[in-house]
Amino acid sequence: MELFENNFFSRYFTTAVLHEALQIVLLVVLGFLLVRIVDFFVRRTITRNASEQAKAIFHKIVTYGGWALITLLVLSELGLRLSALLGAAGVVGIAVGIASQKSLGNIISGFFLMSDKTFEVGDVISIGTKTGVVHSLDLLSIKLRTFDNTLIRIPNDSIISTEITNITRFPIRRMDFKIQVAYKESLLEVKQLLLNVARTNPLCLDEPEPFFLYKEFGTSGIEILFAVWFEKSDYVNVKNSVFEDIKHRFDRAGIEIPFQHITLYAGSDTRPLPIRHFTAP
Amino acid sequence: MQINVDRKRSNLWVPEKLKLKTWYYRCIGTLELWVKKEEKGELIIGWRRCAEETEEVLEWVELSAGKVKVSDSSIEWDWYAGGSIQEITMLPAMPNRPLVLKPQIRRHIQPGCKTQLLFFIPVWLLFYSGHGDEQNKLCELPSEVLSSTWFGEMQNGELCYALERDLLESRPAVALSPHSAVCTLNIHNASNSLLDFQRMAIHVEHLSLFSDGHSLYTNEVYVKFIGVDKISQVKYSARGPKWSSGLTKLKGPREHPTKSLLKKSFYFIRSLTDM
Repeated sequence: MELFENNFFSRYFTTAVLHEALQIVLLVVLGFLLVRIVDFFVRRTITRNASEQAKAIFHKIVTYGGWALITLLVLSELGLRLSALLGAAGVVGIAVGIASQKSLGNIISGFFLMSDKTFEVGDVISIGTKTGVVHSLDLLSIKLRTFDNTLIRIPNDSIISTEITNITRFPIRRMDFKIQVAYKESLLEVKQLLLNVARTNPLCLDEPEPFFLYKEFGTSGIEILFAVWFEKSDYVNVKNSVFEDIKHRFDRAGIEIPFQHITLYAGSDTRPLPIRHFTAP
Repeated sequence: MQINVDRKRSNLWVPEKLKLKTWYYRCIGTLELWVKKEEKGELIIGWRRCAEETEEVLEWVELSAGKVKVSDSSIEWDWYAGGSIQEITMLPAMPNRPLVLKPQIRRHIQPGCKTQLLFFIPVWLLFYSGHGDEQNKLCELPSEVLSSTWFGEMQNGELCYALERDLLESRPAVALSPHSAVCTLNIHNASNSLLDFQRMAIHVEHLSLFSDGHSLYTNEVYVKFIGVDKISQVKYSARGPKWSSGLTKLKGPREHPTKSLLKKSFYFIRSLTDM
């Protein structure tokens, strides 16, 4: 046993091997420090005013790139021929590139999306039929958290060619209420009543002023567009409070909100629909 | 009778020692308040917005047992656990957002002219347990609910409270509301054009509150207007209005201002109607 140990140590723990190992450790430590320093300077200079997501992606590029370089240097120290390795990597790279065209497309689209700055993490956006809060913006895809707390992953290259609506980009928004009133109602009274709804609601902004428009003479009543401005975080409270207040004030003032009426025609102008009464057994 | 009213006003911001297990009531502005200190140290505060015609009750009034029920859903209740302090202090404070002042009567200031205008700001009420160094802030409530408004561009303006008030040229002769502070605004039109004073954003979070034992005052605001869509220079004096004497500082500003603030104070309607 002792002989085995002596042979083992004398064979593998020579001064040259230890020297080599020390060089590799030093290389890794210095490389690690260099990567951290470069990352620090990138954060302080290039990505200083960039979004959090762009900062995260640059951080990944610097870190992974740095570690890939350190690995290559370590392999070179270990005696591996880098030219052969890089040649092999080139061949593998072409093969992987062909196989992952879609992924590369997604990465490039991701960079376009980032530079476009249409949205950031935390914004509420609509992409196609999907609406949610931007959960993360990654190299290959963006992830949306919907309002019923599900996660949707949308590939970057499909977003780039789709219409995006950023709902919370600006600090204030306008909420539209499409209202119908019966033809018999006084339009001036309705207008005054609706403007009072906005005036008395502390969540509705005084300025920009509420918007009021008679849209058209509809099939069941006169169509009105009433819109109030609000601070974007008050969406639900404004929607509910204004809705309740309109209904309450209309009821109190006796203003009719018409709904679609269907008159069944029995084939005669004068005779009503025949109705037969039955007595319960 | 006047002496009694004055006494009530001067007692408005004085700490009140609460008896245990006794309900107290106050009504200030549109705010009704209920307070009770329990034996185990819990402090219960209830509040509700009242109709405008409700008579103000400026002093804490003891209520008979059973008159208040914490199950009353029309009242918002807050429970504060712990503490043997039996004192509650109410202090005034400026609103927590800037105000956009809109004069009821349009005012114009000619080039090179200076003017002094006064207006009233409804204060917020801050509640503390204890007084002096032992004060712990409990909650804050506006004495009057102000509507919100937007000041500036759609993309980068700021959320403010709207305050549509008549502006006065001199100190009012009538008694002031105990929960409104008089703010003195000194405007200097240093531009070559007529200043059409339609609205102005005032960063009330930089204002302190002073009292002469009867009314509340803020420090004076100085605005130097140098042209349409240019940055006006805004300064806040360190003390209350010059024309008032014997003032004591009740509350410091929410945010301390820098010596001279550059704020885009005046804003003109045409920027907003560009829809």
